[in-house]
Amino acid sequence: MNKRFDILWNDFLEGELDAAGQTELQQLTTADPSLLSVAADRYQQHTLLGFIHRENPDASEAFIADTLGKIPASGESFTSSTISRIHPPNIVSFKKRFLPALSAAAVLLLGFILFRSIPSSSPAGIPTAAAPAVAQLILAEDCEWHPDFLHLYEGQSLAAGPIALKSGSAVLRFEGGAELVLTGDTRIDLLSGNSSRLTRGRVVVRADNGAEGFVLETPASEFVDLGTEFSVRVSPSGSTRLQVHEGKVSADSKIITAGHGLVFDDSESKTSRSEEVAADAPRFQDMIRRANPRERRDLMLAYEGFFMKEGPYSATDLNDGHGWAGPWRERNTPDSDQSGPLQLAIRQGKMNAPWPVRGGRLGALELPSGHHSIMRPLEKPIDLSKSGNTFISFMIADGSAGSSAGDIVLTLRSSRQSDRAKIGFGWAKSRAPLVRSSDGKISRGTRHVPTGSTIFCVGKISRSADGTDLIRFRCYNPAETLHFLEPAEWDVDTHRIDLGAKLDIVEITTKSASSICLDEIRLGPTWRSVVPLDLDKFQ
Amino acid sequence: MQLPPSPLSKIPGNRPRAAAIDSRHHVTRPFLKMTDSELDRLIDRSKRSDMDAFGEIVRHFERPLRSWIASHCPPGVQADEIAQETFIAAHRRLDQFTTGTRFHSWLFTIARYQLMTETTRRRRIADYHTRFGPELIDRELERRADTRLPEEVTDRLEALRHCLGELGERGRELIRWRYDDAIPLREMADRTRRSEGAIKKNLFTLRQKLQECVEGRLAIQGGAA
Repeated sequence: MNKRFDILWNDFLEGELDAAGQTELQQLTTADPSLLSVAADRYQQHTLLGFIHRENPDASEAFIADTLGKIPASGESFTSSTISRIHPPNIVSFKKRFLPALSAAAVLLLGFILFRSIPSSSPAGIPTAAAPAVAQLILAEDCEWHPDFLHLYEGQSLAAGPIALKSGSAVLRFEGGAELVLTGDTRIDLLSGNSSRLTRGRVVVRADNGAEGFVLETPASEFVDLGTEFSVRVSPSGSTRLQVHEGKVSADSKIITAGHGLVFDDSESKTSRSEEVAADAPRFQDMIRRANPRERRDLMLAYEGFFMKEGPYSATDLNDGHGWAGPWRERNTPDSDQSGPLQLAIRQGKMNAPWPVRGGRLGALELPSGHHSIMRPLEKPIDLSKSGNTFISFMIADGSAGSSAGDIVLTLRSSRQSDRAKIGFGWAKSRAPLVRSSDGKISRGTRHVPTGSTIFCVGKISRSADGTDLIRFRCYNPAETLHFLEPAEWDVDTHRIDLGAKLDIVEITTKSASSICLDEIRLGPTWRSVVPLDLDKFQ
Repeated sequence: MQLPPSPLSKIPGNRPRAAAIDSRHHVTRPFLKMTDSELDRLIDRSKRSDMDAFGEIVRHFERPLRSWIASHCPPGVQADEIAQETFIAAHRRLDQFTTGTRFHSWLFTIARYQLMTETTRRRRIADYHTRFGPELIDRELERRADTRLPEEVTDRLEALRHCLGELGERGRELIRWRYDDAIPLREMADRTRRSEGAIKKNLFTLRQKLQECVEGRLAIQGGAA
C-alpha cells in the first residue's frame, strides 16, 4: 500500500490536509485509480463511525419530529393556522368586531388579505428571501407578472412557491442545475432545487451536466428528466402535452425518447397516447431567441468608458461617463509610492477585446508601474442593507504574456467608514481571481488569469433580507464567450455576514512592475446591464 | 386513532437482529422489521393525510436512509438535511406511488436525486473542491450511490457496530473521543500523555483494524448467504 497516500488521506480525515496535500492526493488517485477505491472505502467507514456515535433514540425522535414538522399542513388547517399567526392589535380588534358574523369562506378570504397586508411577511405562497433559495430568475424579458403575485426581477433568488407569468419570457435556473424557460400565460410552483409543478402554460426544460433527475409535475402526470431537453404544455382544460427534444424523459411509467411525446387529454383520465414530435418544434434556444433578449444598458447605474483623446492626464482631469458624483482623484496611502501628482494616460488600441465593447479602441486608462490608488464617488450608493443585486464589470490588460504581472483590485467601499466596509474584486501575483471584504477575508478561485491578455471581469453582490450577502466574481479571457445568461459557475462564490453599509466609492488599486490598462467600468442591477452581449454568438 | 400493532411482537419468526454492543451504546436500536402489508397500510393511511401513519413510515426508514445518505454524502454536504428533504419529497409525491410496489426502492430513488441535486449545486461553487476535498472522491461516491444496494450499507453498519465491540477498551475510548465527543487531537494527546502524531497514527491503525474486521464479517455473511 502507498504510505504517502495513507498519510495524506489520514490528514484529510482529520481535517489537517492543506492545499499542497490536496493537490498531491489528487495526483496520487489520478495516477493509481485503485487508491480511489481505498479512499472511498475509508471515507465511508469514517462517516459511518460518525453516524454510529451520533445515534441514539432521542436524536432519532428529534429528527423524525423535525421532519414531520416541515411537511406542509393540509388545506383544512390553512385557515386556522393563518388566522392564528396574525397578532397585530388593530387586526385583533377588527377580528373581535366582525369575525362572528363572517361565513367560513369570508374567514378564508379575510385571512388571505390580512396575511398579505403585513409588510414584514410575504404574501401567501410568494417566495421570500428568508427561506432557502431553490432557483434564480436569470432572465426576464418583457415580463408582465400576474397581478395577484409579486413582480419579480431579473437576478432574483427564489424560494419555494408559485410563479405566475402573464406575458413575456423568463428563464429560471434551479439549484440542482436544470434550466427552465417559461413564456406567455404560465403558472408554475417551485418545489425544490430539483423539482417544479406546472399548473398552466408552457415550459421548456433543459437538464444536463449533472442536473439530470429534474422532476416536473403536472395535473396529468410527473415527468422526470433523464438528461435531456423537453417541453410541456398544460392547457386551461387540463390536457397535457409532453415533447422530448433531446435525451430521455420518464413519464407515465414509460421512457420517452427524443422525437417522441405523450398527450394526456385531461388530468383526470391519467391515460396517454403517443405522438411524434415535429423536427421544428421550438426548443430551449428557440424560445429564448424569440424573446430577443438584449443588453440593458438603460439600467446602468454608473458607466466609465474613458472616451478621451490619447495623451497624459491627471486624475481630476478624468470626469467623463455617467452616474458619478465627481471626477477621479488620487488616494495617497502609506503603501503608495508616488511622490508628486500621479501621471495617468489615455491610450487607444491597447486592449484586444473580442467582445462587443468599444473598450480600448476608443480610449482606455493607463496606470503607470508602481503602487497606485485612484477613486471616484458614485452618484447613487449601493445600499447593502436593502435586498437586491448589484453587478460591476470592468476590463483589464496588464503585463505581457509570461511576464511577472502585478496586483489589481477594484474595490467598492464606503466613504464614511474609511477602510472598513468594502468589497474588492481582482487578483494578486498568484493570478487567482479573488474577492476581498472588509472583515479581512479573502476568497480565491482556482483558475488563473493569464498574463498578456485583456480580461473581462464581472462581480456580483446579492443582498438578502435575512442579512446574508452573496458575493461572486468571474474573469473571462478572450477565448470565452459572454452569454446573456448569468453563468452557473463563478470563479469565486462566497458568503458574507451582512456588511450593512452604503458603498459609494469605486477605487482602483494597482501594484505592478509594468503599466496596467483599465476600461469599461459598469455598475448595474442585472447581468445584462453590465455585460456586452453578442447575440450572434448565442449558444 | 389506533396505531398498528408493534411489528416486533406480532410477526412470527421476525426477530430483530441483535446489535453490537458497546457499553456506552446501550441505547442502540435494532433495525425494525415491518411486513409489506403493514407498510402498505401505513402508506394508504398516509395518502389520506394521516400524519401518524407517515410518522411511522419515517420512523421505520429513518435509520437505513440516514446511514445510506451519510455514507454517500461528499464532504461539505449535510446528510440529515438530505434525509429530511427526501422524506418531505416522498410525502408530497405519495399519490404518485402505487401501493403494492417497492416503497423502499422508490424512497431511495428520491434520496439519490436529492443527494445528486445538492452535490451538483455544491460542485458549481468554483472553490468548493479547494475547501472540501478532491473531486474524484465525489465521483466515486456518486458511482457507488448509483450502483450499490442500500442494504449493503445497513449490513456494513451492523458489521461495524460488531467490530467496534471487538476493539479493546483503550481503542474504543479513542474512537469515542474522536467521533462522539469530537475532542481535538491535541487534547487527546494531553489526556494520554502522548504526542499528536502518535494519536493520529493510533487512529489510523484502529480504522484499519475496523476496516479489516468489517470486510471479514461481510465476506463470511456473503459466503453464508
